[in-house]
Amino acid sequence: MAKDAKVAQNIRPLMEYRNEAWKCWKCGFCRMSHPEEQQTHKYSDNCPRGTRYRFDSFYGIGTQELIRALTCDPPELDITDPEVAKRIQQIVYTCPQCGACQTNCNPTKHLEPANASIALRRWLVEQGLGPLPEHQPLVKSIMNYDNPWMQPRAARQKWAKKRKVKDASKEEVEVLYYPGCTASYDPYIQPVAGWVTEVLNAADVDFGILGKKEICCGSTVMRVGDMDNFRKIRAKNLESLNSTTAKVIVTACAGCFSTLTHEYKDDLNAEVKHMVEFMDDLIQEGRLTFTKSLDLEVTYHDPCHVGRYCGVYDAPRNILNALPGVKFTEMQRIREYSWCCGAGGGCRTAYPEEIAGFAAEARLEEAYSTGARTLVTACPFCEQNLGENAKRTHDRFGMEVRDIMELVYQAL
Amino acid sequence: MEAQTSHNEPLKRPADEPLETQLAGIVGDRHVMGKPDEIAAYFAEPVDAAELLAVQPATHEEVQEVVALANDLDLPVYTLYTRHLQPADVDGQGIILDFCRMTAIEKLDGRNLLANVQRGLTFDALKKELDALDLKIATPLAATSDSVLCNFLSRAPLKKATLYPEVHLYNLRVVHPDGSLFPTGSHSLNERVDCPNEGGPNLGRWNVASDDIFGVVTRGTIWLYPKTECRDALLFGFDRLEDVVTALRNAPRTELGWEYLAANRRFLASLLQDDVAGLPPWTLIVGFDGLEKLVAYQKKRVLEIMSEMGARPVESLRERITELLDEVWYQASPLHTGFYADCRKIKELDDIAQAHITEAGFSSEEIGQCLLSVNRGRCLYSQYDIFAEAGEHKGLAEDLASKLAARGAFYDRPEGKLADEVIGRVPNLRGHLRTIKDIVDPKGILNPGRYVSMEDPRYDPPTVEIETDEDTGIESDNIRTVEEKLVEALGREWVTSNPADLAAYGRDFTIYAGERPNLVVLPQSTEEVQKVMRIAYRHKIPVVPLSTGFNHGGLAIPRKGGILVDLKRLDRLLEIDEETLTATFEPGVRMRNLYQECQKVTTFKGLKLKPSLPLTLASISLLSNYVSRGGPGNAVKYGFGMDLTVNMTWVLPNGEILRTGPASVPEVGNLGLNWGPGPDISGMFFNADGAMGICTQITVKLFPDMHCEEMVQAAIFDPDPLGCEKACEAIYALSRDNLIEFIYKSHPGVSCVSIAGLFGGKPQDYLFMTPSHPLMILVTGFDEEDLNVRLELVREIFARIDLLEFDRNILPPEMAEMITTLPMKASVGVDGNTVGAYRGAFQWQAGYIQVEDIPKINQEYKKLIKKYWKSSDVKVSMEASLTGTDMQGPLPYCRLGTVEFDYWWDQGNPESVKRAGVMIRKTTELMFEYGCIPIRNMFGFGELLMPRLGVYYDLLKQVRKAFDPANLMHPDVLPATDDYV
Repeated sequence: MAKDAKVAQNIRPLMEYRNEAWKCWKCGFCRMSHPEEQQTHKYSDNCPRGTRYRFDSFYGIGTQELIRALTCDPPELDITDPEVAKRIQQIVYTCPQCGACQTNCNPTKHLEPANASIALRRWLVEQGLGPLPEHQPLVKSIMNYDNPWMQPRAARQKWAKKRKVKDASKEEVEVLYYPGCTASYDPYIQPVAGWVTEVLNAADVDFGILGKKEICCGSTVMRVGDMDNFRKIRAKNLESLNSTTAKVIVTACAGCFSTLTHEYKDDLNAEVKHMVEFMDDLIQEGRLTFTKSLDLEVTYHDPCHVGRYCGVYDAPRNILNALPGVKFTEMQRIREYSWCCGAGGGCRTAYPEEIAGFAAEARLEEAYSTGARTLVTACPFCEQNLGENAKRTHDRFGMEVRDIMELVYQAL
Repeated sequence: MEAQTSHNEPLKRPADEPLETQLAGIVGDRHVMGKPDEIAAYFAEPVDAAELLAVQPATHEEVQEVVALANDLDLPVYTLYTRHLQPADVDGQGIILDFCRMTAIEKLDGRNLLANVQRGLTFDALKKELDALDLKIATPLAATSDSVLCNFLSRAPLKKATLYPEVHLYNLRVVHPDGSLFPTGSHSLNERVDCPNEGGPNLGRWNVASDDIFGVVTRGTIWLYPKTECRDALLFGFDRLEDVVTALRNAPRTELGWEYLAANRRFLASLLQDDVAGLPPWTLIVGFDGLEKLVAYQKKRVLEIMSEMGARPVESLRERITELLDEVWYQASPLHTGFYADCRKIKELDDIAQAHITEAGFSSEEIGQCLLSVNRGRCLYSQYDIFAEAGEHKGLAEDLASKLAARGAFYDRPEGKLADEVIGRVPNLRGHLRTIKDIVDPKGILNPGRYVSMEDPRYDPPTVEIETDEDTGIESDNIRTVEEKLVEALGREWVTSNPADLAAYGRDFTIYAGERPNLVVLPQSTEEVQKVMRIAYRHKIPVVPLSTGFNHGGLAIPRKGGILVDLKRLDRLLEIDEETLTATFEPGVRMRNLYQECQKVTTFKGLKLKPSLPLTLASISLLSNYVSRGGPGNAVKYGFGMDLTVNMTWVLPNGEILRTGPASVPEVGNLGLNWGPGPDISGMFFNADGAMGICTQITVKLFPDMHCEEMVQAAIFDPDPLGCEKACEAIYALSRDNLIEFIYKSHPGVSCVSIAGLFGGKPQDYLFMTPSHPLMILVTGFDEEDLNVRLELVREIFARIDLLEFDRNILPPEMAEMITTLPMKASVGVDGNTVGAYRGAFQWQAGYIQVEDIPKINQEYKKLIKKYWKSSDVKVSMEASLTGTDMQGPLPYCRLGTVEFDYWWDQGNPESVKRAGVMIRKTTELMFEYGCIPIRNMFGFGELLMPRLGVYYDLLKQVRKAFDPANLMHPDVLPATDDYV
């Protein structure tokens, strides 16, 4: 229990959250957006899971009570009862680990509901109740193929063909670009890697990639609570990442960014930056200039792993404001009080409609209410989830979802 | 003072004596009258009075005996509210109670501006006493009798209703037909404090505007006002009704001035007994009552505003009208009718009234009319007087009233056939009244036929359909069946019995151990709540409601299991109405959301709207706070939440719906008034915490948010008792001049814990810089000038009582930034949540008390801390133990304050829990010793408090049995079973 405890950092064993659970006084701050930031009743909720299921058990409050009930002696809940175990799994795995609950709770009550939730998930794995069956293929794929898509390692660098990209494992580079699995394999997201490359080249950045030597950062494995496997992945990754001459590692993937930042940082030789930070610096330094006007009205969705996890809020906004012809309007729930798209924490895999679809639809509606019809983000998972649901809800909202890299590339 | 006994035994008299002799034995020969001329004097019209006797008791004991005798003999008892009884009111035989000998002022409390007056006390007699003390009362616009109490009991509109529309009366002394005495309000505990609230639901409130059908009221506590430096008025002429209505609607929203009323020429002629031919058709009167500097500013601004409205100042009658503002205005004509209405309906209703009266052969010059702006213009009271002989036109006013009521005029105290019509329009109200009548007056002897007839249907109590001898039907097969039915009613998704979900509902941060519910349901509508209630009752399953779940008293956790009705999905903010200055919403709406949405709506002069919020967290339900008597917050300006609650929708234990407030009459709709037609039954739902039903919708008053504001802080470093006395002196002074919006006296514990929560370190580290009694005062003004005048006056008070103003600029900027006006008025309570960080659990015990008693109870509390608590912290003082007494929200003019005792403890530590338990008990006992009614229920309070409440507790148990015979609605939150204690 500490004031200023960061979301998803310094996760302790579950038993250490036990006494804190008694200190939850059910004020409900974990349920809503920050009181002074709220603009409307409609957009005042902050917890996708709780807002979807509405029982207290699905909010930060419920996490604390679940921990209290599971860790007291004797435990109040019998996890050998299949019905109980199943519901606990649902409660724990429908949390997209966005951290919004903690952002409101911690400054005043000093509790860590989001971190406690992560600890609870890890504990469930130790008890053999996690990850969920839906997550197993992902974990297996990552362990066997170094990516969650069961794709061959060799296919990882396909996107880089015919592009001016150095091989950082062989050549000296100042910057290592780490596209991550999604931008490397998912055809929908793959263009992002290309746009990053073009932008870096336009700014004359000396950069390279690890190509087929790049492996998954392990974010997914860690988020579903499988820490044993994550530790293995991390060890492998450190070897390859530290083998380059790069001083900076950049990535356009929010998941990779937060994982490398928090889980690898102490042992990495390079500084980790998200592409929005890196680009913002390039723009400020005058190394990246724009020539084309985009004529777009946009709004921006803060990915949890860039925003709440790593505190990067200004950089994407600076970029959008710098793009010619872009009219940027904010949504109501932004920055540290942003509404999560619902994809994180393995929710898109295990609960594609109930959580990922539900949360994305709510976000698209909020984006629509700004008047903008383009929702920009800086995370491939947000982009996948919001994009897919934007198609589903096109009749109602007519929103399109775009990666910020695309806009930057187009404005060059 | 001793607790009231549950039944005062009347003297037994020989049954074979003639009634007159028996009555004479009680009140004396000279005070029993039966001669025809003596009886006829009680009637405005001839009556066959052969079997009537009038008695004049001198004490409430005599009233008890007379009423009990009548009850034994099945004789009707008639009481007077107006000067005369109507022949139709009586039915052959009976006893008329005449209170002309009960004229005492039993207590005149100039400090707290309250007086306990007997029913026979006249306005003139009271005025004589008050004049000598430079005090006064708010006087009626159209008094119907000389009795002060009867007018207040009848909710006679007061001229001061433009700012304070609530009934200026509480703590009634009520005689029930069985002869028992029911002291309402805090007098149900003892008479040390004069507070409107009872220990549980406010049952006594149903005696207001009830025409004594639920008990004979013999005494009450009324509000007094100080005579101020400056009493003045401005008059303005208007030609058209529509324009004067607009002025009455808009100008009071600025809170500049006090009374806003308008009279036509005929009304003024009658009032002044003078020729007023030179006056314009309508004269608007704006009264001022306050400190000279403030009144001077207000008059200047009102002149400007009226000029913008095109009104012409009228000078000729100003002084005479000013003198009359504090005088009682009596009903000018026996042919009259008065009602409340939405400003938008006034013209339409006037057209109907004018047509009706002129069709009866009167000229419009014979119609006197007066309009009173109610509570900042949210609605108007409209009074018609027809200056003609009543006899010739009998029925004219009654017919008119009936016609107007059908078109949306709100008759809050309808009489005769109109009462039947109006009460009949409110679904289920008659059954409710009839059931209460059954409890308090089963033979129906009190004013029979008024509002309710003994032939009316009763509330249909729910029945249990399973066979069990146990208290509840919590048994696995039954629960399974119930779950299936609930799933059918609400859908699988919104019903759970899974222990993993239930774990989240069995604990709050108090010491009270709850049981887990067996089932949790999430209904989305009133209809779904009805379904839940019906299923639960059939199967004998307890029901506990929860809105947002933050609770200081163990009240949102089930004590016996059952169904927990989580009301989160009822979260619609249904309406913010600028016309009546109200908001209508459901339990799941959080305070911050409501505040924020209200701020988007503006009224006259661009003033934003705001609710009056308790000083608590932004994340919690305002509905619960109002119906469960949450912290009083801005009470010093606006009053308590109960008076700010306009309409409510309740699902009763049998699943039927009962609506309260003006909107319960479908033709009327929302008016911004906090009572419905006839007896005010809304009180029985407040502070019931789900034991009387579940509230699914509420309409509350909003207020114009003044344009300018500043928070002034005073730091009192003097040690106690001097420090606490000084703080209370300041609270009196600031409240009595009606200068401020909010005042909060804190203590070092709250300050240090909050600061440490935000800036780190131990709370004790900040003790060196913390005053013993920090005062936070929110001052608001219509504009900069208003604010500055008020600030100047506040600072004059500071100088007078030697208060040090705290300059927050000496604080580090981040700390100074924290001190804003927002938490005071908007209860956004973000930083306030830090009080929960230290040790986790924060015990909050609070009760109503006269502010002058706070220093005394504070000293006693210190002794408790020394004995039972101190060693858990540091060993030096109460301050270092981070505990102390708070005070927030005295009622307007500081008639009543609150005292709050705070201490922090660790719920995860059994030793700490045990010590907290002892402290709660000891503090509670201390509170009761001081006559301090808890602001809201807590499980522990119930156990200690209820048995001390005598007749109130008996009554509560009967009410619970009548409405909830199987004791399933949040059982034990209000201990209502015979074997409870």
